[in-house]
Amino acid sequence: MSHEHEHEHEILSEEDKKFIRDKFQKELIHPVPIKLLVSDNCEYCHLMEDLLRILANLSDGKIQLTVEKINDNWKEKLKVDKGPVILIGENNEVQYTGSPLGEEGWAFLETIVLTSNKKHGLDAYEGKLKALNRKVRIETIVTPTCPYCPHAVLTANRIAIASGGKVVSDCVEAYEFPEIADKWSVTAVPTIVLSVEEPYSGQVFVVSVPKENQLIDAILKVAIGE
Amino acid sequence: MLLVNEYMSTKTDVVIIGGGPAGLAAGIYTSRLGLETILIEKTALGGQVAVSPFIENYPGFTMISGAELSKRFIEHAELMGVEFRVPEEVIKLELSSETKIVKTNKDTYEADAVIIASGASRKKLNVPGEKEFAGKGVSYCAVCDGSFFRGKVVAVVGGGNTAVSEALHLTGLVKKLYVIHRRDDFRAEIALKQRLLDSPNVTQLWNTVVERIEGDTTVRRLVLRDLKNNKQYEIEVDGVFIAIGYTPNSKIAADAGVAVDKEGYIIVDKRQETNIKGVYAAGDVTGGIMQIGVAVGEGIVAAMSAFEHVTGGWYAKKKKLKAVRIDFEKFKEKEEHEKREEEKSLFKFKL
Ligand SMILES: Cc1cc2nc3c(=O)[nH]c(=O)nc-3n(C[C@H](O)[C@H](O)[C@H](O)COP(=O)(O)OP(=O)(O)OC[C@H]3O[C@@H](n4cnc5c(N)ncnc54)[C@H](O)[C@@H]3O)c2cc1C
Repeated sequence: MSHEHEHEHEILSEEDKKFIRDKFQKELIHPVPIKLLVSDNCEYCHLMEDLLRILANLSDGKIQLTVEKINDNWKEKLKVDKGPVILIGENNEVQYTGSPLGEEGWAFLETIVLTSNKKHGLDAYEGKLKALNRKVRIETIVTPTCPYCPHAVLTANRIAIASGGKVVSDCVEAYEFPEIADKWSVTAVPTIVLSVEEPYSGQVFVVSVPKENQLIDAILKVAIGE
Repeated sequence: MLLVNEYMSTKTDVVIIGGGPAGLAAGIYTSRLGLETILIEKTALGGQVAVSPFIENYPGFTMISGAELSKRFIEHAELMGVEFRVPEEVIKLELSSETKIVKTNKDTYEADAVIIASGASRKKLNVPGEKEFAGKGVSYCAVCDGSFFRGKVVAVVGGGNTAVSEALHLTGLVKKLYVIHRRDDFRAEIALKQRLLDSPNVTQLWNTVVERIEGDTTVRRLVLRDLKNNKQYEIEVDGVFIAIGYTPNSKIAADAGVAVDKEGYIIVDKRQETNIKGVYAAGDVTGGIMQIGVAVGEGIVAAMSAFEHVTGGWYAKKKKLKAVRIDFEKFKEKEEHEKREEEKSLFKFKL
């Protein structure tokens, strides 16, 4: 708690807080579990913890925040060894590897709301996504200064939410996790990688903001091994 | 209220295509004039301004980042009641009848007037390697991707304002920067040019064109040609940013019968009207001076012309204007906030 007061001012202004409180009051329906995974030597972990605590406070108890250290279990499962990692939803279907700061902020808020009210707008595809026989991961590599990136991330997050956990959408912040970006020699964002089951094991699908049907078609294909 | 008719198309007074400065300025005006305004943007609101490193020539701001200026434009338009549809792409226009039909990948709109503010896109170099290495060293957005090249060797291709401002953004990040231009001088403001020429880590390659982009997993080198002596040579680079000019985003309009010039820019008259009544165009898509201030000005003219077309003019009462949907509550809050900020900064201002 000691950090909260240090940063509170810088992270969100009173106006921002009011906007968020109103938005949450109007749009949150079901509880939203959020896990923050932290580690030592982590530049943004404290900032993320403070930000998420503020958001939880503004959510009237709807955001259920837990903070954990990244243990060996998580390391093995997520294939990362440092924080911050944020997991959103019953099935951890949305993941942020690195901080959703800068341009990513608004899409992060929207994702919390969509996780809660399930208004993902993908009803036509929901059946197909839920019937996937293998878990597909959408890994969207972004930078905080890229205005196009949050649109790609939000599309991926909506797909993950609609899939009920069959699809995981992971937004990777390239400067905090250069080792992941380097894996595919990413030099332009958003770069979208599709992996099956194992994190960061797949191939680049596209370097741009895809349309939702293009991305869903590609997911259905990689799931059956095409 | 927006009405949904039996064919499930959305009816509105004005549809604006594109959320750059031209479209946002037009929206502020049509909305304030009482026209129901829907603005459709396919990627991100702000247009090219959202990815401009810095702006130093928009009156009133000696220096503002593109991200900040576009945020202000967007907030302003939103407060004035413009309805945004983002991300949504206009894919077809039917403009021949009085009611204009705008089809997107998600919906169909019917409007009395259409303002085309779809801007312009970066030209591709069209050389071998450009497509292959897109996202692997080839980039078109220095603000988005610049930091991947921290401490590396990078080239910018082009010589206009865009190329020079992207180059200036990169000089602070990279170890060495080549600026490759096919002429022997930049076609950019001297205020920008001089700063670039003075940067210690910049090497100009004048009269030079890129013939190939080569590499393995990422870009490694450029094969260049010196136009003066016609010699081919190579430079080693880790990345290349391409800023060689623009092509107008006018194909959808042209397919619907809107007249364009030989480069594809939409032809308009002084009222920003195209050859089709009720259809206006503004900003970079009309060519000429491609700057934010011009886009804003043209957007305003297009909005006023659209207003006259839809209503028949101030006193004609051809159309009953619906209540202006400005969120005055929010507007007031914002004003108060700004006043407080101003007071605070006045307080801080000590000589
Ligand atoms: C790096 C850079 C630096 C610059 N620096 C300056 C500067 O310092 N000063 C200055 O005055 N100007 C500067 N400019 C130029 C300025 O940004 C442009 O002149 C201005 O943005 C043009 O505005 P616009 O609204 O006409 O078009 P744009 O900004 O291009 O916006 C058009 C919008 O329409 C959207 N669109 C296109 N087709 C469709 C479709 N079918 N459906 C839906 N939406 C569509 C696009 O996605 C885009 O967002 C700079 C530009 C760049 C790239």
